[in-house]
Amino acid sequence: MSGRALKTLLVANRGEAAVRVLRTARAMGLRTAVIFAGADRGAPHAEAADEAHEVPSYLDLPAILAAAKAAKADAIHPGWGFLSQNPRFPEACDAAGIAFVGPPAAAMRRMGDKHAARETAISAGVPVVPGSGLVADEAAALAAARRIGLPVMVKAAGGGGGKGLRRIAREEDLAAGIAAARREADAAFGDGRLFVEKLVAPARHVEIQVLGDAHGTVLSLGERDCTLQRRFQKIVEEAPSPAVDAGLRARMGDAAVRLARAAGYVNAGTVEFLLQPDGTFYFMEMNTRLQVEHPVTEAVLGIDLVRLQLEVARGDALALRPGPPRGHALEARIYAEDPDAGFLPMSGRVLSAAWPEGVRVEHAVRDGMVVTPDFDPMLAKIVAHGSDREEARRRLVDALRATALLGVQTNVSWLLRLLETRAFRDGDLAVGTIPEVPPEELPLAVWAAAVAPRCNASAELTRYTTLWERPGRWRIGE
Amino acid sequence: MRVLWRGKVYEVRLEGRRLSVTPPDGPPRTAEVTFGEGTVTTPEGTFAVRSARDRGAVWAWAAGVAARLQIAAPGSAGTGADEVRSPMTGQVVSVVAKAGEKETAGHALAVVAAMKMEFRIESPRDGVVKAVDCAPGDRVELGATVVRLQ
Repeated sequence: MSGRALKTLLVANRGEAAVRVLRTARAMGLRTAVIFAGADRGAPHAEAADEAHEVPSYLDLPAILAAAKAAKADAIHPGWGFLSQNPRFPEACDAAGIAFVGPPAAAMRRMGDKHAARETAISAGVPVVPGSGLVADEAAALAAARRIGLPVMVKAAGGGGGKGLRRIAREEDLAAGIAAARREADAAFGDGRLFVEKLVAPARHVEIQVLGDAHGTVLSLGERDCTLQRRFQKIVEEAPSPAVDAGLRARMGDAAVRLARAAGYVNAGTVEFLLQPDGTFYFMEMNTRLQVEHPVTEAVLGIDLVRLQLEVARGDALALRPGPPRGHALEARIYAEDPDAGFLPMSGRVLSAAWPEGVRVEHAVRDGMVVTPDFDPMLAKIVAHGSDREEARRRLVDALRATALLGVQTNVSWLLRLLETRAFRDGDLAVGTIPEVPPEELPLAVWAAAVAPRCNASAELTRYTTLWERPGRWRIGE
Repeated sequence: MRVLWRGKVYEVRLEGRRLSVTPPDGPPRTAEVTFGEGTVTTPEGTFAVRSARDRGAVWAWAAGVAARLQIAAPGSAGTGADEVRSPMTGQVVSVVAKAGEKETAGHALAVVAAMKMEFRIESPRDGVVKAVDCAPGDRVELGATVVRLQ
């Protein structure tokens, strides 16, 4: 049964998210439109659609709806980030008679509020981490943290993307940590409400991909393991989880589907759990959108989640009957950051970029592009699939070695060192700890490249002008 | 030539095909290198290489490792710990350090926000604050001096 025609899709996002969604939409034969804000005129995502509409900002809902009307779009895909988890977005789409490619507003509102989501989980019989209700102010947060006992996690009710989260282990850090979490939450979400949870450790971050249609079907599409994080943002994700067997997969899948049903959930969503070594798991939160790391699920199930999302949005009944994961998939996120200096975000101009072949690469990078501190520092992601985890790991290593990004410091060389650590090879990971990665050492080939002649090597090396010796361009010691 | 990488000065020499790299705190690494069309062959293998000129620096890349390298100023021994610099471009949220006050290594001097996240800039060593060069609300560039220590 099919609800409505879907001919033109507007993608309300930028960068690799928009590029990825547009790729499937085009493959499905849809007309495509996308939005761009000022500095992104001519950016890769703006050129990936049949038409691009300028908006003042990626958060400007009225402008996005106006763009959808101008494009005669019958559906809007929000991507991830930006407005993708704002319930006013599906509401506005409903009012305009445009299909929102995501859950209904009520389900999004309920699950997007971390505290209401927790209450829904409890009502659905899904285990949750011991914690407080919403706390009125910083003094109440302090009291709750002391009652629950350190270490605790302080969470913003409206939070997401690792913002407004603080892990606090020491009494003397409590007050400052709570204040910082509130400030971050206020700045990022305009919502400073907090609650406090007991820190569950050691644990893995294991999330279940769910997908529901408008006819009452809700499926679990298995787990992703996203334990490797820094500042609560994921670095490397994989499917299946090295810590999950078929029995545990079924139990976690059942819990996630129960929760999605209790929330009235339709379309793609992710239920995040903390998994302890003994197999007990606790609901953490639900992401009411497609996740950045969805490609690892696509790789091991042989599906296209965006296609399924679009089919659900037009009213199709899900015909998919997912089997067990085939092989193993690993995704590495490439960030503009310096892991060897505390993972600080880096900015700069991309002077030269090259990408590996034989793996899935999602990016929207172009030579000359300026990476600014204004957007998320993720530049790209690389997804390797193999018959087992070790084969996927080796393919990812080869792919990262072929990845070149000059002009902006990235985490690529750190990822290469990480993938060689014993802890990563053994899959021995826990939330909140990153394997000890050896310090960066430059291969001799890098030093050689720096002092190399510009031209071919057949002539005398010493006769050539190196990169360093260009008078007038820049001063030595500058 | 003397090359600055990650705050340390490396002595890099290319004599004929002999490349030597001497770190400030270790023995030299030496190898025969052969340059091809966009490749370099070292005893570790043959690698595709790339390089690009940046403002005041050179980016060089091989085997997934990219580095920003600068010519070291004469007499420089690397980055002194007297000037505490912002590790990123962002906005100053708060300033903890006060001129004339004692600081201990690891203590927060200022907090800078970028990408909607906050980062503490910590004192690299024990010392006395000579001057504070930023104020809450300031935009600071990568490498801008935030605090000077005596």
